[in-house]
Amino acid sequence: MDRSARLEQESIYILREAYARFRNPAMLWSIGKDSTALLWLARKAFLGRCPMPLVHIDTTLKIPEMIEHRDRLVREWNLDLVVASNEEALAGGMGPESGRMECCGALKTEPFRRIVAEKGYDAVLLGIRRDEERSRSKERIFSPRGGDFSWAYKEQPPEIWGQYNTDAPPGGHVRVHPILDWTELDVWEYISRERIPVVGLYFARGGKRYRSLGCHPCTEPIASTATTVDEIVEEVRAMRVSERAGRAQDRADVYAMQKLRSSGYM
Amino acid sequence: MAIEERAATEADYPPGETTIVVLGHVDHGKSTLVGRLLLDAGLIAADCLEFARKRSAERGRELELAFLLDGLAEEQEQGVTIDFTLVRFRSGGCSFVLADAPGHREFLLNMMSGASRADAALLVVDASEGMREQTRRHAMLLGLLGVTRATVVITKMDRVDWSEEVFRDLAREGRRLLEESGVTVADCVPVSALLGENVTTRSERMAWYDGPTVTGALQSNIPASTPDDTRFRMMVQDVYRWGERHLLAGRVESGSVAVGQEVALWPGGERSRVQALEAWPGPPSASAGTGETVALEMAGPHLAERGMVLSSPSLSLFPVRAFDARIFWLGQDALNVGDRHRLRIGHQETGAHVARFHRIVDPGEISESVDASSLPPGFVGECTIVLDHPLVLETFRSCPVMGRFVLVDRCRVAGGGIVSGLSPGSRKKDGA
Repeated sequence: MDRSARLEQESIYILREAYARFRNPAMLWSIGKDSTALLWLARKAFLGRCPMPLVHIDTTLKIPEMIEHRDRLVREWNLDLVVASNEEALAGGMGPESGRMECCGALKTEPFRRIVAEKGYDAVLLGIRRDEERSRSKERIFSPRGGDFSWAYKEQPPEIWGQYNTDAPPGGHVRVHPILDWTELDVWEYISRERIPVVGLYFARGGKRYRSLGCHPCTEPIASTATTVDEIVEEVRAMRVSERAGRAQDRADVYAMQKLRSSGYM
Repeated sequence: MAIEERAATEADYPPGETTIVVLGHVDHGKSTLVGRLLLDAGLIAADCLEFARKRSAERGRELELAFLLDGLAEEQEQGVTIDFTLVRFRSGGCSFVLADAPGHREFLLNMMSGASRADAALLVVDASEGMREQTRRHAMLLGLLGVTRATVVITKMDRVDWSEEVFRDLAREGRRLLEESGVTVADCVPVSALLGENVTTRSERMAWYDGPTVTGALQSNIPASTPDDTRFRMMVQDVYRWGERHLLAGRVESGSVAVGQEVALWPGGERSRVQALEAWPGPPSASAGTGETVALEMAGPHLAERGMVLSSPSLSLFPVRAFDARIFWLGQDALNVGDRHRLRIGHQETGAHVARFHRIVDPGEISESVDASSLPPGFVGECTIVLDHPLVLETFRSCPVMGRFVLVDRCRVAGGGIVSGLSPGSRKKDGA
């Protein structure tokens, strides 16, 4: 088996394990390439249907094209979509000008926290990867979160021989990361191999494309001429700068992501 | 001719990827070695290198190679690896995943999490300190995890004035430690990861050494992936009941499965035939090989559930109530005879306890314990385990996946081991 096939089979195994072991799992879908590849893997694992709800945290600062793409796939793939936003914070004028960390906390972590509590999800599946960011590089595939959403990264449960921690702590939930071991290149090669539809913002227009998609004010496009998935694969293969270099979030503070993630961020 | 001087062709290497765990005592230079390997191979993104340089400069250092791996704030502040990470590494046409494991005793469970995924290991030993407690412990645990190949890397050779004598003594000792726990050692390499000597490029300061560099040793020490037993085995992970159809989900653990094939369903041993291998998108598959996940539709009515085992009918599996095992324990308190925990083997699970210990060893000191009624954290034991309900299992030697288990203490994996014999008390050494 080549790397791509092996990664796919491992991810399917993890998805099926999460579905078998949890009572009420949900999948987080940011509409980006990683969580869309994860959604595709779920449809493969469960033979064409995604048997769990997809949660989209809508900060309302997402690029409109992403919402169109989301709604199209929801219709075509018959998905159970749950949208969560922090209406009060938005009404109060929360935005990146209030501070980037504060904005991420209020518009992403907070509505995420509320929807998990409201729906009683005991597992949340996410498309994060080790190579994306320093604190994610140290994650477990099945990673428990306390009732307060905290991540005890200094004492993570062991994962030995594929025996995962499938018990949610009291009042908490387990984050499941089926594509943790994939790299950015693996994701694009898989999108190419499987012809997975991705949002048009990833393709170059006027010499620029989005390499990573977040909220509009905090994501910058990169210079690129890649207009097809295969051209993106070639471009990523030659890249010498990491993927999130265009994300303002990570520049705010060198350990910004670790701080955000230890209190519940994705 | 040394391996790294030869142009590798695709045909020289298996198409797969080899996972290598990097082990050894705390501060012996594991993360520094991995950082050096990645840096020399040009696999570090420019902004990540810049970040590590900046953090190093704040500590008055030029470039702390370990910062390329130690991503948590606490790891950089304390200069210690807390948890493992995995990184991709390519060299001479070979693909690897390197698992950089922590060396601190407190983080032994994290080391085991990284090492349990490995095909082979690099055991790192500081030339100026020699074998220490965690070096010995890691070497012994490696054998228990079923990792059978390793390279000994003697680091910080710059601190012992590039002494051939120091290297020879430590290499001999490292080789002996690993071989005692059933691990084959192909090479021992003297390096300075800090200065990049013998990691990727050959050292001129150690001209007395004519073996491979670390990358050369990695390339020539890829374990063969040919399994001994090619009979079909699958553990039922889930059963999807969709309308009239029942699909058995699982992964092919050995051999292969095809439409029309007769299989046995354990623990009962009922026979059935595979009617279809469901797939999406596209048409159903005709067959699937080892490592592939499948969803099988069986001919005829049957009651299947998670935890059952499917196999080739030529395999005679049976449920057992008690077995002999070699176990490691990493719980907070000692494991006593009679303590009940949950035992998981594949997708099977039941309560279990140790009926008696035959031998207890402190792998840090390689000394036997006199108290044979309790296994302290970090120790290894040979014992008889009794299950609350019978499970279908095999010895680790006959099928690794069917012969390794974990022990769960209040929601957390706290130990594990390998099945060494199915006739308890006979003390037949089968699994080690």
